[in-house]
Amino acid sequence: MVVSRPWMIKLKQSAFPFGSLLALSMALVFSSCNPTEISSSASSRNGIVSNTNGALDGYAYVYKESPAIIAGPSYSPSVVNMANFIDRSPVLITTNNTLTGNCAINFFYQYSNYSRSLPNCLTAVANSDQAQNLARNTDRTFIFTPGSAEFYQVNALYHVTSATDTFLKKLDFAFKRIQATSYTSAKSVPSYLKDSGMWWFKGVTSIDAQNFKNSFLTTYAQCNFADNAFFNPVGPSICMGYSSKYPNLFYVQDPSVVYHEYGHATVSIMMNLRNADASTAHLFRSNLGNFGYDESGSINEGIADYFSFVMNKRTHIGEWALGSVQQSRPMSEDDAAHIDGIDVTSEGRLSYPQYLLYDPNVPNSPYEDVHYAGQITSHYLVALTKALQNSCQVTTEFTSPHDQATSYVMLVLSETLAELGDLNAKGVDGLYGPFSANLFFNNLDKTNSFLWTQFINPPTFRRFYQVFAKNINKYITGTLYSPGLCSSFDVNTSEKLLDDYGLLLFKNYNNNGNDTKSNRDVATKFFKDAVSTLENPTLTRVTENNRRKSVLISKQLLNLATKATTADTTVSTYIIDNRTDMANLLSELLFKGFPVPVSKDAASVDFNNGNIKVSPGEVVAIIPNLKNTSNSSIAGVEVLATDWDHVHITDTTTGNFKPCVLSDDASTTVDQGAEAAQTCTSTLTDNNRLVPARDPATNAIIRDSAGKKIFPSNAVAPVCMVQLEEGSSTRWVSQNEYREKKGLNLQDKDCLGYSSSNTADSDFNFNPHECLMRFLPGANTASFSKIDSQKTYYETVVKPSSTKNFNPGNLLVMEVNKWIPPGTKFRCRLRARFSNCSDCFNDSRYSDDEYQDSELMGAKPYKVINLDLDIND
Amino acid sequence: MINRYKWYILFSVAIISTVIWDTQTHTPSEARKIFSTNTIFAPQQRAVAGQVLRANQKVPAKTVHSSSEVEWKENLEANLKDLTDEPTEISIVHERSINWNDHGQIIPAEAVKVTLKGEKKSTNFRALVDANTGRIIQTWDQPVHDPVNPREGFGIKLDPRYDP
Repeated sequence: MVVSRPWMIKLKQSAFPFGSLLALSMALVFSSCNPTEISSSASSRNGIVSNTNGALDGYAYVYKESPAIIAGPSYSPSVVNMANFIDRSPVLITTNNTLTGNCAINFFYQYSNYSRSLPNCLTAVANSDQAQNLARNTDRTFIFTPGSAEFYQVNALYHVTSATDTFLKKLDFAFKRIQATSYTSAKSVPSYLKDSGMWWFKGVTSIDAQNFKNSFLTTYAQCNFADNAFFNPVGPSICMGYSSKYPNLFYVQDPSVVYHEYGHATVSIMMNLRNADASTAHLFRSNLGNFGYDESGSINEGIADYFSFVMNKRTHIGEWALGSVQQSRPMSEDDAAHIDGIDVTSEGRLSYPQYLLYDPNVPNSPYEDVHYAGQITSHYLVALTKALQNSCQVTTEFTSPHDQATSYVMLVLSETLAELGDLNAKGVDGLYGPFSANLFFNNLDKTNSFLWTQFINPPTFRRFYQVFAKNINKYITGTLYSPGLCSSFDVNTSEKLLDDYGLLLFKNYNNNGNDTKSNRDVATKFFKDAVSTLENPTLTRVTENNRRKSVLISKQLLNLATKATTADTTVSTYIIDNRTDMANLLSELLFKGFPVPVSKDAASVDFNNGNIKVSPGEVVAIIPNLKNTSNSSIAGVEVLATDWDHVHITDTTTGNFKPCVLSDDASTTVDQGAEAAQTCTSTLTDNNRLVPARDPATNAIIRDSAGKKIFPSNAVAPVCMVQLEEGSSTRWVSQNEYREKKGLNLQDKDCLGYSSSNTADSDFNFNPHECLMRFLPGANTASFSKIDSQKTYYETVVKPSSTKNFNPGNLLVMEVNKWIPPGTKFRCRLRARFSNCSDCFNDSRYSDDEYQDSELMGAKPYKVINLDLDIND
Repeated sequence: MINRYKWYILFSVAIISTVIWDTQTHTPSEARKIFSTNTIFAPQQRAVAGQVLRANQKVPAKTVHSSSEVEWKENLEANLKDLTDEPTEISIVHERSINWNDHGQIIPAEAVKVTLKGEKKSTNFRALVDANTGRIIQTWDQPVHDPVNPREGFGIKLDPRYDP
């Protein structure tokens, strides 16, 4: 069969209709682009490709790098001719008849190989309107005119297939090596990965129809999104959008950005490696990051950038796609894009938290964004890779030192993310599968694991790098289990490199395997209590002399800003209550996939009056004006407005309570409104809500002999209490007690959060103790990247930025019942901690061991912040 | 003759099989299972409603497995529309029915895939929805966006009256 392509003949005739002379000459020098020079067994004659002997079946010409790399940075995106950039050697796209790719992985486990394959696990189409996969040409090739929709689909599949082959090969290596480690060692990448199917988006075969409807990852090569590219786990799919500025610029033209999006897909896979076994799967999937700015999201971006380096060995990403708007990103300190002072010395590393807001393209305009903050992770991972490359003995198992070192890093990443994203909350396994004991070693327990891993205890810089460093010790240095993959890269070297990046934020490696919720004062449970063959390791501490750049700060130095003088205009809380802003915020969160459930009837943005005060019926955003009174930057601040264990429940028929005096916290003293003699030492281990108890077998509300509902005697309570006047005295009470004693005549159906449309129904979510004011689920946590010394967050981040905007991740959203009388006073007990906190994570009573997950329901790990709000008329 | 049309026949059979299978797995009256550990079990392991709910229990009728798909879907759609002023096309694809253990409370729930298409924005994600009210219990599987210029993202300015 002989097939000619008009564009090939055009090239052969040197009738170049494109580009500037400079770009043309550069393209000719660098690109080796003439596709008629076929190096296969097929033939070429006069610019005509012949697939006479079938040697080009499934083959096509592809560009292996972007125009900015091949032709240089001066090649203009105004006029793009991809024919200039395609490689002269055709490559196999797929052996399938249509444009789909196949996945295969080999699991070596206990002396046997388990080969797993998924035909058609990859597909590429132009956009979501294209229903059919592209078929091969009549000549059985996938050669299409450069710049055509088909051409981009073929290229997209080529790059995604390359990425998949690389990722699965590295996961294969990680699985083999991890499972070969001592049987006494706790492992996070599970042995049953070979049976669960979680190495891809497929999942357990028997539930594919429900949870993993598409076992294939679709790449939309030219999807209909301007100035955007994204990974979408629902598809699952990758969307490669286009530039609104340059009509011929499509992001699929930049393979480094394709690899970045694919990197997000690998993060999604690795975060969920433990979330199914051979027969069951958790309903949810773990995400790494939420909306707006948060540290989890920045780590996700850093890993995605790093995956581009894994693929192309270049320490820069997006020269073409992002470079078109001066937003490409470096991944190494020796990149020319960096400002002076950043270099590969210990002092010059891109360290946390100094460079959290650093945009190398606009260095004088700091900006809070996950991509900029993600550079710290990408730079660290690249530096670690180079250090391993320099330290480790080369083995023949790998194709190159780069392949070897990146395989080691990906092993540590897969083990780390598998642990952090574990929704089954077991953390470790028995010899052949999940253990049956009712014990949990990660993310509290199965019921609360999603809440814990996404909101209460998400992978911050501290948490992520603590687990990551533990796994370096475990698998690379050989400190814990000899031999390591690279014993010349020892623990000290690892700690020093982490510290160069300001990431030595932890005092120990939290490797001693205590469970999440056993009361330590009674009896702690360890790995061995769940699986008899596992050892209980000794807690390994960080060498404090290695901590030079990583500064830890006491939580007592984080406070709400206060007025210095009466003339001072400082406020403790910023309130956003104008209708337009709040309506836009709710819409933005909805379109980010985080709909915030505003109560029906009792509150609405339509009540918002924009007077920067809290008024009845409003939906408002709250920003605590946090001030750092220390001499160093505080970073990774998380503020929680979620229910917690801070009250003493005095009446189990109503759930009414008195606020506790919480030991060692100045915000919860009697002076601050806590009730004398109500000192609570939290021993709560289950995240019980303060709602009427139900019989788990029947679902019916449990009642006492008098027919009254029964509330738990120990539970987490909503954060907001209300001030009740009784004669000449006042006290903080539950909202339920207030509405009864003040005679507000509010029925349950008039309360916030009562979502049943029919009042005869029992509402399953309704909490009477947040009838009047509540923080909305899904928007009741906030993140702040950093607060510089003696400054507020606003002064550190918002004011110096070009936009002077708060981002959605900074905002706590609350709703206010329209029936509240003006003048009512509320106190909301928020909790805050931060990543470089010296006293938020370790329990001095237990030799500085880490606080257990259940203790995150209490006060000890946090600075309690009293947020006082008066209801305005 | 058969050989000539074999691919067409095979393709047709595949399409018909897919449609039948799809219909079967989306039956709204599918029996629920109480998820004491919030774990998905393979379909053959599901208990029918009678095994987990007593006949004389005092729970709303709708908590039994035959909740009206139309009602919760309508409520969910209304709840979502309430959150935006932008005209939005909403698609809700039902994936499964379960009984969700929410801190000891059993909530009949529907797992769905939500797709939103506004004039300028669109997204999709998964959600667990209260089968009685259409209230969203949890969302997950949100897209990870990479705008080429992060500075052009959504933000809210501080009210100038604060004069900080």
